[in-house]
Amino acid sequence: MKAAFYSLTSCEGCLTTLITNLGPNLQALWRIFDIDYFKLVREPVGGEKVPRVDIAFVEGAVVTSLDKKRISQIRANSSFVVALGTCASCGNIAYSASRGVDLKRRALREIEVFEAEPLSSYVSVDFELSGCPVSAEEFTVALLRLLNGIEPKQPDFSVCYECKMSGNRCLLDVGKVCLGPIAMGGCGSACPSVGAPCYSCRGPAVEADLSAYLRTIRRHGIPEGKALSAMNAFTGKKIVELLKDGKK
Amino acid sequence: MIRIKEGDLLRLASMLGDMGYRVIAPTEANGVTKFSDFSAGTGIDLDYIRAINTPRDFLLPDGERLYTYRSTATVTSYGLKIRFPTVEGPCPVTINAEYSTPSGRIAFFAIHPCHANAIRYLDRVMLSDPADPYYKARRERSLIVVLECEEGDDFCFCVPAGSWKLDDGYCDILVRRSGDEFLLQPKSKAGEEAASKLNARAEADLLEEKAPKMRSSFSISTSEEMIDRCESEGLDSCTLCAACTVTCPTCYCSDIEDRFHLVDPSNVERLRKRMSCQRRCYSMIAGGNLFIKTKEDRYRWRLKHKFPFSSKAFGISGCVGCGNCIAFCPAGIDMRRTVGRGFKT
Repeated sequence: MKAAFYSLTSCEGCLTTLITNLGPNLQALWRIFDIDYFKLVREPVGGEKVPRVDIAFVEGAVVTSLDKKRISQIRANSSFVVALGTCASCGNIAYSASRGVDLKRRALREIEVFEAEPLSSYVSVDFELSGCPVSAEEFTVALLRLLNGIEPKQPDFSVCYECKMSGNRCLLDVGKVCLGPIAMGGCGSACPSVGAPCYSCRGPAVEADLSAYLRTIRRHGIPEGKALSAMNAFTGKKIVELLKDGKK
Repeated sequence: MIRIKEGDLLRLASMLGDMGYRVIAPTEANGVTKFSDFSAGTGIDLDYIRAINTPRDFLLPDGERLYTYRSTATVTSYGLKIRFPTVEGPCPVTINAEYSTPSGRIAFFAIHPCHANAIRYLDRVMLSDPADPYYKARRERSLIVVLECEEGDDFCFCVPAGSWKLDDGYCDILVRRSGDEFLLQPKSKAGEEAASKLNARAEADLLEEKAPKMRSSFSISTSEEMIDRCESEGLDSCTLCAACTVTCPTCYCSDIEDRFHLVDPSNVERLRKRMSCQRRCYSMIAGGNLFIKTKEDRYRWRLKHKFPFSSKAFGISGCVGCGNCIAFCPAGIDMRRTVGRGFKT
């Protein structure tokens, strides 16, 4: 089986996390797959050419003209495309940061810069593994399911679920703008467990209900505007879609 | 009855530890009270009214490994192939499930009467035929020290739920605060054995359970029809975070997960993970269909399981009136409005 790991415009944090956090699993990965393209680990076998693979893991958002060309090449040459990390699945910070800016002046020589978009805006994506950065454990679980011909699954719960499980005090009760109730879980409530509010780095939960969330924070006396700006900061396209739906 | 000072009560906790028990006691940290492992030197919160986790978390831990088995996985050039006995016909190699039941002894120290009654309910569920071996092994060797409440908070309703009374076998030592002192009443052989080590003089009178003061009085009446007809007032702010089921002392629903490892793919762990009826996948069947779609339906399902279903199946109510689902709900949804007759906020 062939696999490849690509990187579009991003901090390359997701692939770095995989290399550092997979531990002994990383070697197992090389035993199971023929990995022709994983630039962070070694020089690609066929140079810059996009190889034909069974599973392609793509991190990063589509920002430049180079990214646009690359993602359509990747799609054409891969049977299964996995968006790795929140940049690839939602657009992450780049999504909101690239809007309302004069992008023409930011062009780098012949490379054009556009408003950042997640992969799904340009090509069809088979599975999205959110996380900023992705969790190596979730990656392994998803990979093992894929190898066995089972569809991988996204967490169906919000950050609140795991946060209550870890026995944390609710941060809304102390007046912090926590996006936990609408944020996709699976992180083990990493931030609320150390007292930092959730900023929804994985994008919205599968069943996120924005109007219910706004009612909840109003009950706690938290201004709506603060929560909305926190939402816009991180989670990109999916929150914007959620906001549109919520205002209907 | 034994009359002791606070220091002696803490000494009792560390003595239980010396007797080989894993002592679970309420401790306060970061503004919440939580049951956690007690070790000499850590303080115990003896004035708590509400704790965010419950004895259930220790009797039915999340992600408990039920057993491990060897699958017939092989790494080929086409990837990893695992053969499941159920998926691909008869398994070529017999599964040698290796399992062992937990062997440690647990002492629940200073839990409230509602928690003790929650254990009683879990016993009815987990020990009814066929008994769950993991739960049974833990329960058989556990000891319960109940600390009575003087007064409930805004969310408590153990008096309407009738769970301030203790059944035989669900309290080994009963403790009540009386001013600066504590009154102790051993209620079982194991309790007597532990209390005798305190070397305190026993008084003649017996300590009986006393109902705590409640801030609201109402009666609980539930039928399936009534819950079906309930108003969905307040439910529109439910974000389906499932805090109500996570903090509930009697919620026991679980999911089974097989965990594979990339390094040694033939070594498979079978885990029991916590599940919640408020989650999407709870009622999902093949093809992705959901039976319990809306939050109103999920709320009703939870209440039906607690009241009419439990009464029918186990003869006791699944709600002990601890009020955790109300106190920890970020949206402030109050189930007393649905099931409490004569309840006023």
